[in-house]
Amino acid sequence: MLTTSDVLGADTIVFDLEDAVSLGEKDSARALVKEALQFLHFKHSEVSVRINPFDSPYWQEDLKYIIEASPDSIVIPKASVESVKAIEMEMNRFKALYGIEKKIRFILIIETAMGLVDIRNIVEASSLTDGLILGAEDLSSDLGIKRTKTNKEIEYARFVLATTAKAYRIDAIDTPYTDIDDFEGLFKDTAFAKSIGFTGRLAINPRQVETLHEVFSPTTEEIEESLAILAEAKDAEEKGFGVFSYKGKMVDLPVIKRAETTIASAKKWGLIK
Amino acid sequence: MKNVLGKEGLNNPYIGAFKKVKRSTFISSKTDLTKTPQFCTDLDTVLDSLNLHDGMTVSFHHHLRNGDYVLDLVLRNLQKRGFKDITVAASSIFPCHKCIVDMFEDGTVRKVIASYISGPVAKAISEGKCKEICEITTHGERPRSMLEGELVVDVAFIAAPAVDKEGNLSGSDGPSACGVLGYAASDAMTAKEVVAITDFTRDTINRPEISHHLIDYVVKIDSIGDPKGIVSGTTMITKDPVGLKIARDAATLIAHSGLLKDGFSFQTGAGGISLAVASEVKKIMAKNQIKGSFACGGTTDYLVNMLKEGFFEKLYDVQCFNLDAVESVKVNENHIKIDANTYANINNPDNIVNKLDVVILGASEIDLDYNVNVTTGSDGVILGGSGGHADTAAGAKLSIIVSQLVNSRLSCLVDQVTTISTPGETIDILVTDRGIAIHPRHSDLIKKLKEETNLEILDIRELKKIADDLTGIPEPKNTSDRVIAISKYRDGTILDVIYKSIN
Repeated sequence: MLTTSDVLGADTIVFDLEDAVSLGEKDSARALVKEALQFLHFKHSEVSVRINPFDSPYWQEDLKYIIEASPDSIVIPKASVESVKAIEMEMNRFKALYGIEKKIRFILIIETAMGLVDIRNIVEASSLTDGLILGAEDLSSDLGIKRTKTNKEIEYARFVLATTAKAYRIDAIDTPYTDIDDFEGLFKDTAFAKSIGFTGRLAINPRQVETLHEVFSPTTEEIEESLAILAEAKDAEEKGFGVFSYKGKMVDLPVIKRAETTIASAKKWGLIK
Repeated sequence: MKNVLGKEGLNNPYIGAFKKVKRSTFISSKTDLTKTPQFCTDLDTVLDSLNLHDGMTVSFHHHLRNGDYVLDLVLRNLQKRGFKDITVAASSIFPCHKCIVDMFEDGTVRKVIASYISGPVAKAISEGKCKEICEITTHGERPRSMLEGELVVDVAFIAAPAVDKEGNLSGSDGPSACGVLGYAASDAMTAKEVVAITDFTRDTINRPEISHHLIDYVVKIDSIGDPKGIVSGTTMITKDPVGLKIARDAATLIAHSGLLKDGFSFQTGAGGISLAVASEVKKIMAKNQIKGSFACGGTTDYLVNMLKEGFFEKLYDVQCFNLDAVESVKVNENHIKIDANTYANINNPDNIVNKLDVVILGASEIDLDYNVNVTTGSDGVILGGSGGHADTAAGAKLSIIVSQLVNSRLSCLVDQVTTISTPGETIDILVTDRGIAIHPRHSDLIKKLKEETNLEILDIRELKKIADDLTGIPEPKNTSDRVIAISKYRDGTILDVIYKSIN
C-alpha cells in the first residue's frame, strides 16, 4: 500500500503513525514513512503524516523523523490550543536543525468535546493551520454516545466544524465513512457533508476515493454553466457593465466568484484542462 | 535461424503478424453424414478397437479445465498398455494433468502441444524432463494446424458432458456440463479416430455442437470430471484499488478512442482487472445508452449479465469460465457456442477475433517494442501460454494490456521480454497504474487523448524509467542453451524458444 499510495488518486495521502501502528512498531513505522516520503514521487497528491497525540510519549520522536523528510503537512490528533502551539514550536526547532525552509502546514483533528467547543481558539493557535478534520469515532466516545449509520448523532459537530472552517477559509474534512463496502451509503452521506460546507472527506479505504471524487468534483452541468457565466462576465467587463443577466437571472460578483471557484475545482479534479 | 524479432525461430521463423500465406485448404474426409458411432460400455473395449501405436498423437480438450478426469484416465490406460513416445496435443494442460510428469520419465509421453500449460507439467517441461521440444501455441493456431494438415491427430479423446442416442455431443447437459466444446471441434473434424467419453447419455440433448458423423466410438464412464474445477482462477472483479484505477483509466481511454459507440464489440479475460475494465465500460455504455454488437472469448457471469441486461446483442462463447456461463449458454439463444476455428483461426476469413473493436489482455512482461510475454515468468519457467492472447491482439482494432507497472518488486516493463508470446506489432496500448504507453503508430489517438483527457500518456521509455527508479535494473538472467519448448504464433511460425530452467 505504501509503495502504490501515490497512484490511488487521493488529493492528500495521510501516513499514519498513530492508531494504525501498534506500540511496538512505532520506530519502524517512522523509519518506513520517512523513507517513503524521501524515495517515492508524489506527483499528484500532497503528503501528510498523522503524528501521535500530544499527551502520548511519541509525538516528539515522530517529528524528529518526519520533519527531515519534509511532508506537506502534519495531521495533529486530538488538537487543542496547547498541543498545536507546542507542536509548532517543536517542528520549527527541527526545521531549523535540518535547514528546512518549506512551509509545513497543520491539519487539525477535532475529536473531543472540548476541542469542539474551543474550536475557534484552536484554529487561531497557529497560522499554519489550513484544514480541520472531524474525528467522529473519538468524539462519540468522548461524548459517551453511540454513533449510528445515519450520523444524526454527529450532525451538530459537523455543522460547527464546517462553518468554522468556512469562517477561516480553510478546508473542512469530514470523518471517514467506516462501511468500506457500502458505496451508495458513502455517496449519500458525503453528499450531505458537501451540502453543509465540507470540502473533502477522509477515505478509510482507497476504494472510497473514487466516490469521494464523484461527490466533491463539480458536475458537467455546473462546469458548463460556470464557463458560460465567466465568458459573459468577461464580455460585460469589456463593455463596462457591473452586472449582467444570464438565463434571465442577474449575475453579480458573488455569482462570478462561485463560477470561478467551480472552474478552479474542475481544474483541480482534472475535469477540464 | 533468427526470426524478424531477432529471436530464435529454428526452422520456421516468425516473419510478421500478417505475412504468412495459407498453403492448404481443409477438405473433410468424413463425408458420410449418416454415420453414427459405436456405443461401448468400457474404455478397454474401445482402446482394443483403436489403431494405437508407439509415437502416436492423441488429443484432448480442456473445457473441464482443472476438473478434467479424462486425460488422466486415457493416458494411464495407454501407459499400462506399454505405448511409448506419445505426443499429447491438448488444448490446455492444468495441474490436474500431473500424471504426464511420470510419463515423461518412463517414456510414455515424448512431447506436449498445448495453448496453455500450468502446474506440475509446466514445471517438468521447464526442467527439461520432456524428451522432445514442446509447443505452446495459440487457441487459433491449434485448429489452423489441424485443418491444414500440420498437426495430425491419431486419436482424439473428447470428454463429452452429454451424448444423445445418435452420438451428437454437447457441453451443456449432464452432471459434468462445461458449457461449450469449442476446442474439441477441429479434433473431431480431423482426427483419424474419434472417441467421445461421457458420463451422461439420453435420447436428446440440448444444443448439440459436435455431430455424430464425426465420432467413431462413444464410451460411458462413471464421471468425466468435476465441473467445479472449470472455474477459472479469477472470475471476480478486483477489489484492489490499484487494479481499479488501471481499469478506470483503460475504460476512459476506450471511451475516447472513438470505438465505444453502438455496435461496439469487446473481449476481456477473466482476470480481476480485466473484469473491472468491463465493469467500467459498462457504466459508460449505460450512461451514454450504447448498445454493443457482441462480446466474446472465455465467458464469465459478468459478460453473461451484460448480455442479459442488453449491453450486447450476442455473446460468442468458445469456453465457459464459470458455472453461470454454463447455465446461460444452455438456455440463452443469444449466447452462442462457437468453435476455436470460428473464434480465432487466422486463415478463417470469418473468424470472430477479426471483428473485435477492443480486447483487454494481461501480461507477465512487456518490452519496449510492445512484445508481450504470458508464457513464462521472468525466470524463464513456463507458467501459462498464449491461449487467445496473440489471436485477439492481432484481430482487434485496439489491443490493450492492463497491468500493474511494478508488482512484488518486479517491473512488468522490461528491455526485452523473456519469451515472446504476442508480437509487439499487434499490441497497441499498455495501461498501468503509473501511466499509459501507446504505440507510436497511433499518433492521432495519442494527440486526442492528450487533448481530451487527463490520462497520463507517456512514451514507453519514460514509463520504464519510472519502473526502473522503483525497482532498480535486474541482473541479466542465466539460461541454459537447451531448448525445451517453442512459442508458436497463430500462423505456425516460431516467435521464440524457451530454454531449460537452470534453477
